[in-house]
Amino acid sequence: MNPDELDQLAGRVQKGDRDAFAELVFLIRHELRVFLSSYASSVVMIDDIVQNALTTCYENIAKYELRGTFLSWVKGIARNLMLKELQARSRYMTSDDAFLERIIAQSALETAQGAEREEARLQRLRGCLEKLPEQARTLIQQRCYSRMRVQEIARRHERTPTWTAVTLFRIREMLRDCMEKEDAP
Amino acid sequence: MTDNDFILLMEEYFDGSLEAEGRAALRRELQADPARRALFETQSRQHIRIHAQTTPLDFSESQRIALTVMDAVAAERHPATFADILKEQTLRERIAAIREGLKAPRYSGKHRYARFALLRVFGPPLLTAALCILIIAALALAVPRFFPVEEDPEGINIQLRPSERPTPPDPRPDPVPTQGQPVPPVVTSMPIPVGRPVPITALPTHLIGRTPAARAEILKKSNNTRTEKTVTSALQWLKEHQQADGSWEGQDPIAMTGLALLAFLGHGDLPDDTAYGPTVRRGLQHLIARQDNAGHFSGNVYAHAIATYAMAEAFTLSRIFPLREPMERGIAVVVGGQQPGGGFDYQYSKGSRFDTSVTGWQVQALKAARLAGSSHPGLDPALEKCLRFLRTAAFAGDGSGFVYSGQNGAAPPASGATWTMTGVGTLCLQLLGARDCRQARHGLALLEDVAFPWTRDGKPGIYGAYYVTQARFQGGSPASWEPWNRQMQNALLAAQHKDGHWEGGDYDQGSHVYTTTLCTLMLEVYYRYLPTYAKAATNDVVTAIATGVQVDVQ
Repeated sequence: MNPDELDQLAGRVQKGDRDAFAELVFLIRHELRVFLSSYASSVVMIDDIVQNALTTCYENIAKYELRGTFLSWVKGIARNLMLKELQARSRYMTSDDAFLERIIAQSALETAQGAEREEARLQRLRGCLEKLPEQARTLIQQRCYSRMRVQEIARRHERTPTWTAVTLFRIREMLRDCMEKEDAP
Repeated sequence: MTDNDFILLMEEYFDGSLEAEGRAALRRELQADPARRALFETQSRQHIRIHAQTTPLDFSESQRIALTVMDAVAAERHPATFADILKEQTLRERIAAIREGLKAPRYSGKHRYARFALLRVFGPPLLTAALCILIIAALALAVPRFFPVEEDPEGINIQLRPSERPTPPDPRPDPVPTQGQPVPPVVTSMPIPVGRPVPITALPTHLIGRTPAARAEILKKSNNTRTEKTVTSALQWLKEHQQADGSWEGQDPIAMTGLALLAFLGHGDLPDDTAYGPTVRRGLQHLIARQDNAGHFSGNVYAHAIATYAMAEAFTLSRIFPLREPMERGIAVVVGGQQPGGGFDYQYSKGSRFDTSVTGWQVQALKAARLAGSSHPGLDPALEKCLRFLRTAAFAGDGSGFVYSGQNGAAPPASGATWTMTGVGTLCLQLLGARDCRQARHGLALLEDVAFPWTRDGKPGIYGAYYVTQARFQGGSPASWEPWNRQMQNALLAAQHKDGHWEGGDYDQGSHVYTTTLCTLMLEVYYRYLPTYAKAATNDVVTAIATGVQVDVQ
């Protein structure tokens, strides 16, 4: 992603060009989602924070100076929003039903302390995903890219939901191992 | 709770389908077992990370979010700056604030203030001026009524003032549209902005072979490196034979341009690349400029589908968003032109006749649009109808393969299958994810008896060979693919002229572009559109994970 191109679009948004903002969103959304995935406690939470971050960005875009740092600026906004949200969730979600999400939020909050390390790990995850074989990548694509449910994937592969869940579990573990392995000196 | 039950519960929690009972069971499990809790944490986090990495790059979704954000900001921006507006200022301060505000973003408080202040400063004089004009106009209308002018005795020879004279007729002849053909708009040069490389994880699985690294790896592993020089030499020839307006010559320049673009895109050459980027860009610009208001790239049903196919591939690979709209409009024409039975015919006729050859290109365009993430609501139903059509109406009753044409609503033709149409039907079923259906398997078996049709005498049947090459490659059996691959490579490498072109294929329109593009597309088969059968890599972990997984990504 070219910082000059982002600045060019940001400049157009500052002049009131609505189409330019749509283009800007298209260019940064993927990057922003990946960035937030280190800290989010659910996929839905990523979408919410992305939208809030974009709203804050749009409201304050007049304050942004065109210095080729647009993405870092938006990431900073998003990270602050995410931390606030995680703190709120880990503190105030006390009901039994929120237990599951709360423990993920707490774990994410711990990760947020080592932000730089996590960002490097995310870069490695991308490399690990590219190394996945066709079949494993297909399963991941169906699960995440096409947002298919586990039952649906199982039906498509003529397998049981348990087989599908276990295979997905192993793929995730393998990717984690791959990230950790490359993490080691 | 067994490990497998626990993992299934987690998985259902991730996709949000876990009922209250299941959530309670999972919660109890996590509270009781710290090891499982740790596993749950890491798995959840990993699921979220992977999810974010593989999110599709969808422009319409981004556009929707942008609009929501902008509307929300506009709706929630209370007139806090109205305090400034109400504050009394000197005229000089006011003009300075207006000048500053007009430079600020349109939605900003300063800009709104500037507009408001503009009205305050200049509104009263403007209003007075407008009133004066109205009064003068009313008087001017009233005067003739009170002081009637004598009528011109001739009555009919009233001369128009120069500015009211009709525009002289355009000396250029009007385009004469043939039946069903849209009138092409005036060709204009449309700038295509710089694209950005699409991350490999965001590319559809079928297309990842087009990245330079993957292409090199695939060619090396499949031992087909000798074809690469042939392909680049053909692409160079195509580049040198592009017309000044971005098109390629032939009886139907739109079809030729679409095919040439497919050849470049098949090799992974995108609009921003150094070697062929400007060529691809000009080709795309030509197609966009030729698309009429109704979405037709051409009145010819083949040419339209080929152009739409090229546009969809260009958008998928480059994510240059101005390509999306032409693609969507093109695909709307294809979807709208489908017959109720699922097939297509010339002129997108909805009559009783269907044409399998025409259908073949429409299916390729529809599938490419699907991979591009088209948001057309009729796309998936159209693909489903195509599938039904190919499995029933187009397959000969005697099992001899696919037929060229037939009647909608009637029983499938009892005979009359050809190897060319069997190639079309088989490939289309494979593209539609039905490679294991009876008709596709039978079609593939029939194609195994076909020899590569390149002879020194007569016209080589490259139209059929284009389909058979892909169908046998997608079919997945080395026993079927290898003999054909050898014949194809030997024939095409021998028949290529030194400057990179081929000539003389069936339906060649004299410019050699048609033959050259189809031959190039055939030689790009190894990486252009990856099949879904590929066996698991030898990596131990991978083998453990993927054993037995047979999938079709749709």
